[in-house]
Amino acid sequence: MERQTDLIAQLKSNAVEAFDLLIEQYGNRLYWHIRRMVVQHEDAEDVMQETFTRAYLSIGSFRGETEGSLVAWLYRIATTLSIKALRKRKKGIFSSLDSVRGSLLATFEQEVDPSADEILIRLQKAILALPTKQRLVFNMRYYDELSFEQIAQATGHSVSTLKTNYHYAVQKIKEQVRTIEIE
Amino acid sequence: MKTKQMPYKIEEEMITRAKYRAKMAVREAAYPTKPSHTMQWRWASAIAMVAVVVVGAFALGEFLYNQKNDLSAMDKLVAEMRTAPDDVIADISIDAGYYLDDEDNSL
Repeated sequence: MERQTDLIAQLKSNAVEAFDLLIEQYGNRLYWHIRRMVVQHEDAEDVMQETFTRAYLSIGSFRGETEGSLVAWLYRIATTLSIKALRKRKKGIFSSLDSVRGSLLATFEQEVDPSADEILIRLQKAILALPTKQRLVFNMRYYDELSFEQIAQATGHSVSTLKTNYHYAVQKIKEQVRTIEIE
Repeated sequence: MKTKQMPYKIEEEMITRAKYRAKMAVREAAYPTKPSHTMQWRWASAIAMVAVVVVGAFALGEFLYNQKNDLSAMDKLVAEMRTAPDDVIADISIDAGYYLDDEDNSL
């Protein structure tokens, strides 16, 4: 706990070494959060680099004191940049962000490990078929084990909206996995 | 927190490299290697570039104009010589130093 407070204090003084520590501590988690959103490794690497650069440049605006708020703040930057990366994949200016689902599934087919557990592949396909907001909430809750309050801080949505989205996401994933099983 | 298993083709070194790139990017943001040019510097270089292009275009235009005029003067002289009587041609040729002293001009 004390170590975390020290880290936050060092980060706020813009010490580069503190950011090295931050990257070591949260790099894996953030990489996977971004990768689950953008699917492709190269995109995930770019977004992760941008996330920590933004964190460095805007640490002055971070008002939190706890590890939880630091995590939520990092996830907020990473999520914003992941969505920005997804927007680049959209075909038309007026098409919704959810229109990229097809392209994400196609990318997933290329990035999937053929030796991976079949149920994990099915689960991933079902998640990628979700609308972006539901996918985001599901990933952050299920994989990153963030509280709804942290997700609310990271996404800017209310806790009740997030709970509803999570509920729908779970229902759809169950149906989707069942459909795939029947097929 | 233990990362849940993901069905992606991934090697540990890919994440290590991503983290290394992030660290380098933070350093780049902290200590930019190239000094960024000021707005005034950018304006001054843009104006200088425009000036060079204008002067170059002017010089090229002048050169082409002079060349064209020289050619038309030569054409005019040739046309005059075609229609002029022999004595006039002889005068012009003498003026132009056509007959050299040591040349045999006998027909």
